[in-house]
Amino acid sequence: MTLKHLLPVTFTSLLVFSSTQAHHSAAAFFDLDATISVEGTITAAKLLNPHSYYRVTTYDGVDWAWESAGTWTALAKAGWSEEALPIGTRVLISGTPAHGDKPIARFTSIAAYGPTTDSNMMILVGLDVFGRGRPDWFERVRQLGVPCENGVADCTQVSKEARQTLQDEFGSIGVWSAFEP
Amino acid sequence: MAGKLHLLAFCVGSVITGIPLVVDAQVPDISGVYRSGRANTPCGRDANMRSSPDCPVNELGLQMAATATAENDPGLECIADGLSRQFTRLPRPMEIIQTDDKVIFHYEYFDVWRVAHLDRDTAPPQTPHTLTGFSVGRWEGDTLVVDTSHLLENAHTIPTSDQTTTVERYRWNADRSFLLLDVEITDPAYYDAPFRLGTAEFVPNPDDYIAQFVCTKQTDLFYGDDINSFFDDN
Repeated sequence: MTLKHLLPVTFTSLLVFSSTQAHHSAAAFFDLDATISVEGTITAAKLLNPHSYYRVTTYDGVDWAWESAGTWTALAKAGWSEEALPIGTRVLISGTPAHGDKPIARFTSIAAYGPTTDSNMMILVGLDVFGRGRPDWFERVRQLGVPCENGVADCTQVSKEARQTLQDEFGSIGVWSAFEP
Repeated sequence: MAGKLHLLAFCVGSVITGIPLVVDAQVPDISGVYRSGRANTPCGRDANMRSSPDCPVNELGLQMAATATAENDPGLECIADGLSRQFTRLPRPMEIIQTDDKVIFHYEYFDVWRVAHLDRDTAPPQTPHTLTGFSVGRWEGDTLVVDTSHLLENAHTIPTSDQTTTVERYRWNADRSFLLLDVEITDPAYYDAPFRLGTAEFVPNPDDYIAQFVCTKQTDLFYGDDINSFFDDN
């Protein structure tokens, strides 16, 4: 069973990637004081060391490269695979833009839609490779949902009702508030 | 009883691996897989580096730090970190393999191996300078002390010259829940005095292992004409 079959709507929050250092100096490459969000479709994935990248093509045809701060080796150990975010997945991806005008950024969260809208969604949270802890809503998400079936560690599937609960309790600080299902 | 079980475990491990393990009962066992610690620099990084009482960097060191740019970051070329930079890295898996005459450090990140030679006091003649240098080690009570020399010059994160030497001190905390690492760096070229990094904590993670680390150059993405050349070529 693929993620698409499981997930009409997928919310992905790779909090580990919000770290400020990876193989290269993050500040040298990225504007750590800025944030950017892009909505589009995953059209390519390069799951590599020292970083992995998703190409997200916006609905008006702009190709973006979104970097993970963590190594592919670490992600793979956590159960990540190409199936976690298949090509064709519609996403809203947010993070820190690269310096300059190239469409490159490092993501801090990915909210992923499935092929249909439904009452279910998945939140993939906190691989926590760098040991910087998880957001305060992480445990609450775990309480409200059930473990995902895609093999990714710390992945939680929650209902639309649970999403509303998260919104009520934590406000618009989580990926659940990024878009309307 | 606990000591006998400890010794038994060592013997069994030795039979399985074929490696002569530590037999000195007075030497702590620090072997295992860890979530590596991060030794924070007191200096600031690269262009933000500043001299301070905790960071006696001199003008030459600051000039070296200023040469570290995104474009010349060795990681983009799949070249591992210099040792001083490696100490400051974020927590990642590391394994310590302990034998009677050496302690081996294997870092998953860039598949870096280091050997602390316990049966030597100095580096052999003609030892080349490398990213991780040449290390000798000794036990001072319950502390493993590792002295490293013959390092290559490094510009990134903590600039260091090829005259740099480092001293690492590993020891268990009181309840053996994590391994503590203190690092002192001496570099007469770029610093007016030795300085210390923040203490790092290495948390045992016996369920983890060191995976193969295959690196792909990523310079095309940042410095090519089109990001799609990166996605299309790799």
